[in-house]
Parts: sequence; C-alpha cells; structure tokens
Amino acid sequence: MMFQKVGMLDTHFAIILTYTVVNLPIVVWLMHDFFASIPIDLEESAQLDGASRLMTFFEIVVPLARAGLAATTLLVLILSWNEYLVALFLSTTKAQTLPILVAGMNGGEKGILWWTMAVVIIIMIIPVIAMALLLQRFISKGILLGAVKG
Amino acid sequence: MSDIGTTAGNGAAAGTSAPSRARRLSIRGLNKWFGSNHVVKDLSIAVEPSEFLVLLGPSGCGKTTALRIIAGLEEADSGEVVLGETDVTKELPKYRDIAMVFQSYALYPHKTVAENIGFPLKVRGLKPDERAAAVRDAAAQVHMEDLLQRYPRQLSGGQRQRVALARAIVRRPSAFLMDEPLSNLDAKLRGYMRAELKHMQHELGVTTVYVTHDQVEAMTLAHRVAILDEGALQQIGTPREVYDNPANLFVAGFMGSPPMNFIRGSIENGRFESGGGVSVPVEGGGDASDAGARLRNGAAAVMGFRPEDAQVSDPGSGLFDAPVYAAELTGDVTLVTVALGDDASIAIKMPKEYDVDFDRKVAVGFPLERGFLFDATSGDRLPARFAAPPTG
Repeated sequence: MMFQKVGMLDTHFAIILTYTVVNLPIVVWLMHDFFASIPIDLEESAQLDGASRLMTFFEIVVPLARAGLAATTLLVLILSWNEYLVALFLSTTKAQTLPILVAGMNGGEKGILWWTMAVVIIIMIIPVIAMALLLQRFISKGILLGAVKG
Repeated sequence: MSDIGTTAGNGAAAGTSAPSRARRLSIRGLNKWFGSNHVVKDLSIAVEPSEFLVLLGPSGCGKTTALRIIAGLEEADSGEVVLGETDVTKELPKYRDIAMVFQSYALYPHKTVAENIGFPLKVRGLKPDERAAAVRDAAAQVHMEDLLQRYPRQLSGGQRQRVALARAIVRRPSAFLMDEPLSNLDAKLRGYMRAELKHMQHELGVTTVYVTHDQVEAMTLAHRVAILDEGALQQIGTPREVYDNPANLFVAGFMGSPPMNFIRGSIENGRFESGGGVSVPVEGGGDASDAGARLRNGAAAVMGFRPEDAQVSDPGSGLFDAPVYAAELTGDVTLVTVALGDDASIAIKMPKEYDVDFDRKVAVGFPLERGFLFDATSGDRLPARFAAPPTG
C-alpha cells in the first residue's frame, strides 16, 4: 500500500527493495556465523603487519568468508527467484516475476497451458543452475585449515 | 620437506648484518583491569636494545595481556609504552613498528607462504619485485625457501612456525613480540626450534619480548627473565640470578624442575624448627631492623633448597631423616622423593647410579650455605643464613 502511495507499484525498484529488506535479516544472521568463525588472531596479525582496518577486511576477512558469501548468495537468490506472494501484490505487468507469469498460465479461456508452462519453468531454472555452478567453486570446505594451531 | 632436515650450516648465509634498528622498549606503570579483575598491576620493565626478555609466569598471570598492550591490541588503563624515544601508548598497532608472532601462528590460510611472508611489505606498498627479494631473504633465514608456493594447510607445525617467524622478520621491525610461539609444537621440535630462535634473535639483534609459562624456555632463551604472578612483577634478572637468588617464595617455587623444596616451620630461639625434626640455627643477616623483626620468636618461616644441592645419605648423617616415597630414574639423574611429615615431600637429585627401596629411612642433607629462608606470610626472602652444622 505504501508503494501505491508513492506510485511505485509494478516497478522493478519496488520488488528489489522489498526482497532486499525481507532477505537482509537472513543474510546478516548467516554471515555473522561465517565471520565469527574466522580467528580473531588473523585480524590482529594483519593489523600488526601494518594493514588498515579496511585492508584487513578486504585482504583477509572477505577471502576467508567467501564460502559463506557464496552459500548465502545462492540461498537468497533462490528465495527471491521463487518468491510468489509478495510479487503477486507488487507487480502486474511491467515488473512481473517469473512465478507470477507461470501462475498466470494456469487457467483462462485456453485452459492450463502445460507446454508453455513447462518451457518457461525450464528457462526459469537455468539462471539458478548457472549461478550455482559459478559459485560452487568457492564453497570448498577447509579454507580455514592451517590458519591457526598445528 | 622435513623440519629438521635443513638445520644448521647456512644460518649465516642470509644473515643481514648490523642490527642498527634495535631499539629500547620500555613500559612504565602499566595497569589493566578486565572488569573488576586487575590483571596487570603497575608493571614497569625496560628492555634494552637487542635484548631477549622473557615474561614468565603461570597461566592467567597477565603476561599475555601485557604483551598485547605493548603490541597495541589491548589498551592499558594507565601507564605508557615507549619504543626508542617515541611514546606509542596511543598509537595503532600498525604505526608501532613492532612485529608479533602469535601462539596460533595466525597465518593467512588463503595466501601462499610467499604471500604470507610478503604481506607486511604489500600493505606498505612495496613493488612485487622488491617484495620477492625480501621474501626470499626472510624465507632463507628460516630455511623455508623451497616451500614458498605452498599453502599453510600443506605445512607441518614447525614449518608454519617458521613462516610466522619469517613474516615477523621480513620488515625488520624495531621489536619482536612472541606469545608462546613454541607451545603448539611437540617436545622434540620445541627443543630444536628453541635453539634456532635463540640463534636467530642473536643474529638479527632485535629487541625481543617473549611470553611463556615454560621455565625451561625462559631459562634457555632469555638474557633476562621477568617473572610475573597475578599481574605483578615478582623479580627481574638474568636466568642465573633468578635461579640462584630468588626474591620470594613464588619465584623460588616457579623456577627449576623439579622446583625448590620447601619445609614449613617457624623461628624458635634463633633456630629454624620444623615438625619433621629439622632444627637449624639461623643467622640474621644485614640490616637487623627489618630482618630482626621477621626473625623474632614464633615467626612462621619457610626453608628452601634446590633438589640438585641436596643429597641422600645414611640415617642420622643429614639434616633430617625421612622415608623414601619414590625413586625415579629420569636418565641423567635419579630423582628421589622423600615424605616429610604428612603433606610435605622433598625431591632430591642423585646420580643416576643411585637406587633405593621404597619406605627405607634415609637422611637428607644439603650444604647450608645453599639454603634459603623465606617469610611464610609475605613470601619474601629473608636476609638470613643458616649457620653451624646440622644437628640431625
């Protein structure tokens, strides 16, 4: 209803904003654990080695959190990609998401368009699979092995 | 590949000469509270240029906290840290020109050995080719030049330790801090790395503060040892000084393996008397005022002597008689433990040929000039000597 007031119904921006807000708590919660698992010694060591906080973050912390970042990215991608209910309210034609499009084929005067639906769904799966393939090389276990202790 | 393989020989090859960068490191009146817990109490130590100072104490005595304050990882509640002529108390760690080796080594797991060692140079903006030369130099110093392309997870404990050391030396800091760097290694490797560390510090001549709870490490590595207990400095001196001249009961009981023997008793009519039949005349030394008061009748006192100073002999010929509790051959010596009274046990180092049955009564004696007397309440060493031959 807020989007209606500011005239943002059926825009990409409204959907992006909503999904960001909805998924952010999950991301923060997941990433907190991944960041917390990086030994504090590494950050302290980087500081003593002369790195600034920003440099420590990008040189040391982010590379070590890559597995977590990749996993979280995939999770949130799938959540948003498949989301139906919010999109149903926020979009009609211009910023329609794929689940809405598929659902729209279920009924009407032409009956259930099984063939079209199947094709759209297959097309819909492809980006997710591609993303998963792209990210899976980051999700290697044991990246922290050898950081501390012998 | 082996840690031990590449040992000595080329140690001097990479040795960069003139340790001109070594600076004096002083801490003055350092205090630190964690909540209501006073973990560092008014600590003042001056580490001379190129000196190897060991902070020694049991776990939880504040030694690591003190080191972290020097590094800038922890902020002191009061006091100052001075490096050379510069007060660095309020400086961020990266401006302090101090390198630290962590107990856990803290290697960056996603970087190769070369990248790990080169990281301090990279953040300083050195060009890759300059970096590579310095990295090779530092790696050669710790005999790791063949493993530069490996990742930390592919290295053994000793090799990781070397990488951590190389990362510390690569930028030629004014001071090294080491937080129990050998405690994660097995006993054999630890002994070996200890010697290597000592040699390297000597070669580089960098002011070093080394934290450990292992008194053997402290004795062997240090130019001077500072012994801490409950956050307070107990004594500072060369290993020999603190071993031969402990300032109080804590230091005496902490140094040595096994530690000094203590017999609890009291001063009666100018004699040290203890329940186990020990009775030795005491001569009040030096300034009579304080010592005299402490040596008054009935004052609780503790007699101490080193296991290696004592010997076991036939009953009646020593300071006191006691039954043998156990005799252990440790290889180079036989360690005889006798039970004195109900709760005290006395350890004596005897030649390895010595053997004795359980429960046999023996006499224990030691040269009286090698004995120590402590105030039982304050723990302070009393300026008194044992006099006259033992009365058995």
